[in-house]
Order: sequence, then structure tokens, then C-alpha cells
Amino acid sequence: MDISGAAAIVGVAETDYMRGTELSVPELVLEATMAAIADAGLNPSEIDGILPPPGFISSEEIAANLGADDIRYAVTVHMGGASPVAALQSATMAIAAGIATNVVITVGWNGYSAMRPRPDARPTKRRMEAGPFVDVSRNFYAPYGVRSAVQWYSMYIQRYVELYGVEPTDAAQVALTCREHAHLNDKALMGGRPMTMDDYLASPLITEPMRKFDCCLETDCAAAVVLTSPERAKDLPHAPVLWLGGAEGHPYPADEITNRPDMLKLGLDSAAPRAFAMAGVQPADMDFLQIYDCFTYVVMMELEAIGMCPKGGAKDFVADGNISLEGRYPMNTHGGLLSQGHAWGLNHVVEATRQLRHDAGDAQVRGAELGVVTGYGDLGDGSMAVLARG
Amino acid sequence: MSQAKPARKYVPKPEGLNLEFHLACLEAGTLCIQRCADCGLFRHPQRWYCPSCHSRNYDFAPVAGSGHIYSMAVNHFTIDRGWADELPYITAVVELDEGPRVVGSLRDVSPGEASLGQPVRVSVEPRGAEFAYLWVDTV
Repeated sequence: MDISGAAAIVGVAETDYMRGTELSVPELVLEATMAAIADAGLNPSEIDGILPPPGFISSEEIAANLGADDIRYAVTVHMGGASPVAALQSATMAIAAGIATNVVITVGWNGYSAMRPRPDARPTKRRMEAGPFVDVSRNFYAPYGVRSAVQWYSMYIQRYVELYGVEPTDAAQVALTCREHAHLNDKALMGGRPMTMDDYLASPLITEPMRKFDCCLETDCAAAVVLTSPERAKDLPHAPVLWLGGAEGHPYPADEITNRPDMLKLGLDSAAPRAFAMAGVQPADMDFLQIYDCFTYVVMMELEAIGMCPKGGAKDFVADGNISLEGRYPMNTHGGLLSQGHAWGLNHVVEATRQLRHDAGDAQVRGAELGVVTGYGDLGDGSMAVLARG
Repeated sequence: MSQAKPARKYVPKPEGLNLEFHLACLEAGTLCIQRCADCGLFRHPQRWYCPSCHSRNYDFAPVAGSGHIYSMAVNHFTIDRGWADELPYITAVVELDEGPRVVGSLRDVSPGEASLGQPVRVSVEPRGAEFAYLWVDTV
């Protein structure tokens, strides 16, 4: 069964990106979901497939708010930040197989407020579900003071920078580019707040080699996208954005970093060739890149994994001006997780869709026809989608 | 004047195979690594099946703890209050001579002094009756 082009993104939405809000996560998720369905020109009750975030709110609860009384497909993807882009594949499979017709993917969280609850905030039991690797993390890393993403990933990034001679000024290109692009996006948290190389180098070390400005933004927000069949999409208001191909990939073992035969092999290394093959296109055909940017160095590893450059070549690729809006492969044209906000990378799918609708405002890549979106999460899970203007 | 309670370091309560690992280390007073009783493959973390021959038979074999620094987390910031006073601290990934890699605390070495490939030795120290803390020392 060939599922290339079997589904189209027809609706997208995102809440504001906030550092502190009185809205609960379910409210944020529902706000984005309702807005994405409205953007698609559908009635909420027409939704028959839901891929909710891992935690905070269930597909059942979402359906009850939508008046969606005939849900035919509901599944949660447990790949951390790789979940939304992997969910595009799952939604397309459901649509191609005739299981569901109008599928919504949504994520949201209190990435800022969970760590900084307001003094008057009522405690909530709603939270993110622990990732599949939590048992290993709790037993083998946390006892030694390693209990956050920047620390886990540093265990392979240390090897990456040593093997390829990657300098902080190389990773800085990713941070500075995302910041430049944030100035073009009305919703970006860091819009209008310039960053220079000196600012970057002056930012404190967190876990070597990562500095504060190598790290993404803790954010309260939600986003949602709606997919349907290309046939149904013809009757809807926006130019459809076709899912041409995609894949997910898992490093081995996926639940533990340190005993991988090759610690530098990410899930995306195995996913990307399959995704491009399904889509029938090459990395060089891309008009833009929306790369999951939890950390600058992870972006560099992903650029190599998807074949934009050879292994170790990302430091030259990002230095050569490729990734700026004027470059050959504009990257994270919304500012990314680093400078727009952190919606688990579903904001990358939202931005890719706007680019392909030619509705990206000042950040529009002229004549964009094809683009790639990646996801990255948990301990190096990866996902990818090639999207095309329909 | 109320005094802030000193934050304590997190010590897991192991269960299942992981508990067997810790009890083996504590009884032997040295690092023990799970080993397939049929094909002899060492493996870490603990798994029920040998990923190579799929045997369910295993033991925990004492090892010398010799190896080298394969990678490390050099921490200048922590969200764990129990570790705030230790900053900066180095968490080492040690590749043992037997093959598996273990995570432990590299002590008496400053950031900048530690390097990948450096020879080290892993030893165990009891933390309560059911957890063997892994120390990493340069040799």
C-alpha cells in the first residue's frame, strides 16, 4: 500500500507562546484544537480521529468537548518531541486505510509554569506522562545528578563535538539564525530581542558543551493540526499541504543512551532515508527545513542524519549561510523551539504548512513547494515528514 | 529563624532485575555485571532476555571495574537541589573492559582535566541496603 500523498494538512493553529498563563493545559489544547478545526473549515463534530499529547488530556475528553460522537481512531504517540511528526504518519495511515477521515493531532503543555507555579495556583494532577525511558533514567542516570534533557543528550554530544571538532561558534549559528527568524514572527517569544555572537558566548554553561542559548525555551502553549483525505481537502478553504512521505526511527536501545553500539546514531538516521524514499525526493529538493531544535547541537546532528550534509559537515553547512531566510535551505523560519517557543515541534508543522500555503508573512520562502519537518525526542527517537504544496 | 532543610541526593529503590544487580554488587563489594549463562555475553542495564541468544539464564559476574571514559556529562547547572553544592560535577560514562558501559560519578577531577579515553576504575559504595553507588576514579 503506497500512502505517499494519501493525506493532507488542511488546518493548523497555535496558541500564544507564553511564560506564565492562567489557562490550564486542557484549555490551551482545546483552544488550539478548536482553532485548527475552524481553520480547516470543518465542524468540530466532524472529527473522527484524535492523536492527543502524551498526558494532560485524553482523546476521550477532547472528543467530548468537540461533540465528536463517532471517534474511529484514537492513539497516543510516546516519542517525546518526536511524537507530533510521527503522529502525521499515524494519521495518514488511518486516513489511507479508510479508518478515519478527519484527524486532529494536538499537543500542549505548561513547560514554563510547571516549574514555576504561581503562588495562588491550585495544584493540578494533570501532567505529562513519563516517557518510556523513565525507568532507566531513574535507576541509572538520576542517582548521579543527571536528570534533565540537556544532561542526557550531552552524553552523546560530547562525543560528537570531539569527533568532528565542533566549536561553540559553530553551534551559535543555529541559535543566531533562529533568533533572526523569530523577529519575523508575531508570536515568537524572542521576537524583537536581538542576540549577538558575544551574547551567545557570554551565556552560562549548562552542561558542556551546551550554554544557555543552545537550549530551547520553556513555554506554556499548545498547537494542533487537522488532516484529511486529498479528495475531501478539495472542498476546504486552504490550499492542501500533502504528506508526501515520512517515517519514525528509534535508536537501539531506545530506552538507554550509554550502551548503544554507536552513540551518535539517532532514530532520525534510520527514519530519514525511508521518508525521502517514500516521498520520491532528495534532500537537495527541499525549499526549507523545519528542524526540531531542542538544542543547537542536536540540530546539527539532525542535519547530518537527514542527509543535508555528510557526517561532521553540519558545522560548515550552518556557517555557509544555508539556513538563513536568504540561504538555500531556510531553517526554522518561525524561530523554532529556540526562539519562537516550544510546542513539541508541532509548531514546526504549523510553520511548514503556512510556508506551503504561501501564508508565512515576512518569513515566506519565495515559491516554496517542498519542505521537510523533523521531530526528535525522548532519548534520541526521531521522526520526519516531507510536505508538499498540493 | 527557620532553616531550609538540606536537600538530599536521590537514592532509587531498585526492584526486579535492577535490585538483583545492586544486591550482587553490595555482596561482592565490587562491580558485578549481568552475564548470559549460556553465551557469556555481558549486558547492562539488566534485561530479562539475552539480546544475542535469547536465553533467560544469567548470573551477575564480578568484574575489575577497569575501563576508560567513553563519554561524560560535565554539569555546570542542575535542577536537582541535592547536587547544587557539587557544581561543577562530572558524570562519567565508563566503557568497561568487558564491553558494557556504566554511568557513575567521576571524583577528584575538575572539568577540563577529564578527557575521553582516559583510563579509569569503577568501584561501589553502599547507599543503604539496596543501592550500590558507582564511583569512577582515574588510574
